[in-house]
Amino acid sequence: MDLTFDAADRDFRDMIRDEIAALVPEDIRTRVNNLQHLTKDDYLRWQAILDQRGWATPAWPAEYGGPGWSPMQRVHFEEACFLAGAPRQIPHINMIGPVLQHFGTAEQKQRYLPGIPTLRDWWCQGYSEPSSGSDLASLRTKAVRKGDRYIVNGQKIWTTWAHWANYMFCLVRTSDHGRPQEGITFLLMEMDLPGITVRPIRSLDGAHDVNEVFLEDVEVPCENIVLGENQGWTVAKFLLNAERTEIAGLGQSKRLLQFAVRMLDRMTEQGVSPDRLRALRVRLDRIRIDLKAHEWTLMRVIAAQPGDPRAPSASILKLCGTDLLERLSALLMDMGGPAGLAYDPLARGGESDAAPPYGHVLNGTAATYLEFRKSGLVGGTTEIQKNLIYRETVHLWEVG
Amino acid sequence: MNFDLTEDQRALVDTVDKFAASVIARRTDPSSTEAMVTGTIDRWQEMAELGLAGLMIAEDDGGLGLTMAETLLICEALGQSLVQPPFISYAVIAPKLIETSSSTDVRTACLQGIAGGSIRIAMARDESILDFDQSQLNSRVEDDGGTLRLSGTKELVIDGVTATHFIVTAQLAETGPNAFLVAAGQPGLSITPLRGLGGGLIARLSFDAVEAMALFEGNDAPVKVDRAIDHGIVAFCAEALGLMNRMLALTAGYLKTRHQFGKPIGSFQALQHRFADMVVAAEQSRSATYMAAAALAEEDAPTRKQDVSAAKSLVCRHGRAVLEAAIQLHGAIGITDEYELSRYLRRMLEIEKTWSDAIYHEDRFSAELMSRT
Repeated sequence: MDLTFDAADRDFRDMIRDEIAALVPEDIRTRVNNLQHLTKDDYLRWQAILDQRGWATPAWPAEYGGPGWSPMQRVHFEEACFLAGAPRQIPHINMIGPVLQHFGTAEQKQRYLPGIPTLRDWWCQGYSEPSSGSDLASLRTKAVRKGDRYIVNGQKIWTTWAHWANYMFCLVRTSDHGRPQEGITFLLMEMDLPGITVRPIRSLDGAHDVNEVFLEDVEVPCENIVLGENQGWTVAKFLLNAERTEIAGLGQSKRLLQFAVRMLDRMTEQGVSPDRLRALRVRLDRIRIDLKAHEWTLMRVIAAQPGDPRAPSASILKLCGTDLLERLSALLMDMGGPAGLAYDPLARGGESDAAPPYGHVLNGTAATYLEFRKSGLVGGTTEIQKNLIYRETVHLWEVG
Repeated sequence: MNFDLTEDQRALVDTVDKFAASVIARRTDPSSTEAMVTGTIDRWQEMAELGLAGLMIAEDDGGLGLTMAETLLICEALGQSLVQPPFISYAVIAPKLIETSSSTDVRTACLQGIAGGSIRIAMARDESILDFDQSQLNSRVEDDGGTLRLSGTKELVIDGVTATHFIVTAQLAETGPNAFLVAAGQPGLSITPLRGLGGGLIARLSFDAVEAMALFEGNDAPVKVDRAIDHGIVAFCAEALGLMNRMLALTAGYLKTRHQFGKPIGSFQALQHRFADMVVAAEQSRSATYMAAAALAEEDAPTRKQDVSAAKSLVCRHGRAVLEAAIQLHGAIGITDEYELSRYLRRMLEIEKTWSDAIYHEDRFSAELMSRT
């Protein structure tokens, strides 16, 4: 054990922070700092800037045109983007890319990989279904083979940015034999195929990010299978493992912390009572402390050799990351005080140019609270994570 | 940054585990204060013979010249076995302060004595009993014709009963606060042993014109005392990790073996989730402790204070959560004095109050943060 910092790692962190800060377009930074939602065009512009710099696909190895960063360097990159007011990374770049690189055929790689870095091809993830949330393996969207195609029928839900996507990777049922996991297939499809309908779902803050995707007699060529029929669960598990550092949400938490610090400064300037300031500062500083520990847990997970029983479980990263996002967003709402009574969702979503009555930031405080109620649900609920932590760790504690 | 143990570090942990096992095998019920004092001093001599007393002391001064990483490993192992030697007071805080003394002679003599086990120095700083505030420093030192004489009272001195010397903070007329080396057994110095929450001994010291020696020439004694104590705090955090390990192990075992409603209670999700909370608290505590140890190595005072206070407050808060969950998951057996858990949780509470609690350290963290911006 050596608890001293690596100079090269710090140099990289400083370099990437400076560079990213210089790259973010002013109007996008302003919208992010106003707690507003971004448009598809914002994401495309930012992605093009990253692509020029060679950083469009941070999780891709160098042989596929990625920067070849270590997991810790990726964390620094992600954090730099969040702190500089850049759009968040489109998660699907780091998901479908590595899946195709690992399991895809030569044809699939050639066909799909080139469109990902620029977001010319925008992928969405078709996993959850109305009856299959935490119990994902129970999914029922059926793909029945007919000659050289599958006929797909069913429904996906909570599909983020399906309305912006031109491709979907999804899990479909191809067999009812054996355990539910054994009859699942990982399938790629174009979103403009006949029979696909996307219906928007408004979230608590009024934003439109997630959708329902209806599949009715959709014909998908058999060559769009990844890995093999009924092998989809293997792919899904690989994907989960690939995102185990992102689920920590470290950059996201640091950005919310940045907002909270700015809010506290603003409240101080505007003469908010010392008692209220102190109550909020105590909460803020406790979050800061927990965030520091969280960062070190992430470093420990990254540094661990695969299968090391002493390494913290990745579920702890998800759990603590969620806890921080929930507390930070709640703190922001409380900091918004009475101003949070007024809310203009259209201004936050960029759907209207009108300035909200008390400005964008105050318009976004309660909305941020509402937005982050999702964090204990996405990527495995808090309760599922606790089940996993118990299962993974209880046998490690032998009574001696 | 590397979290895997080297061969040498593994061997060190092994040495400490064996020492702890031998102490436990010989343990008898401490009948009297005298027996506890003799036992503690004898055990400390054994640790010194293993080289552990001089762990952090430079090789030139008779120590092993190792780092905080090794100290954490030792403290965690000691926490897990609950042996509670005065390791942190005598082998971490004292040498970390003495190494910054202005006098080369004092430095060399003390450090060699510490490493050999013959000199056992306890830090006597606190005077308040309802606050961890150190700004009230009423102990005074007068210059009595070239001899410095210290008068005052120091409360709740950790490992003070078995010490050969004390480092005492006091005001020196005209020059301000300083730290003084005072030998035990002098006229005018009275040591009252108090039973500690964790079962050990704590001292209350009263000085009446006791001969003392100033450790520092300038006015930076408080800064150096803080730095030394911060090293001790991180070491106590590591001991707490060992306590949490044991509380988790006891709880995991109980969840597997205790049956109710015809099955192990560990099959109930509500209890599984409470256990998962304990695991998370222990892991976050470990992360925070490592973070603070890394900050000590940076030797940048504001960063050090922030990270050490972050770690201590987090470990106190999470330690409390772990012990409360351990009691709850054990049911009524968890509230008995006889069951092993009781000793671990009382030691956890003792560590909470050693060198300031969560409330104090959250405040210090905030104050450091605000002073920086």
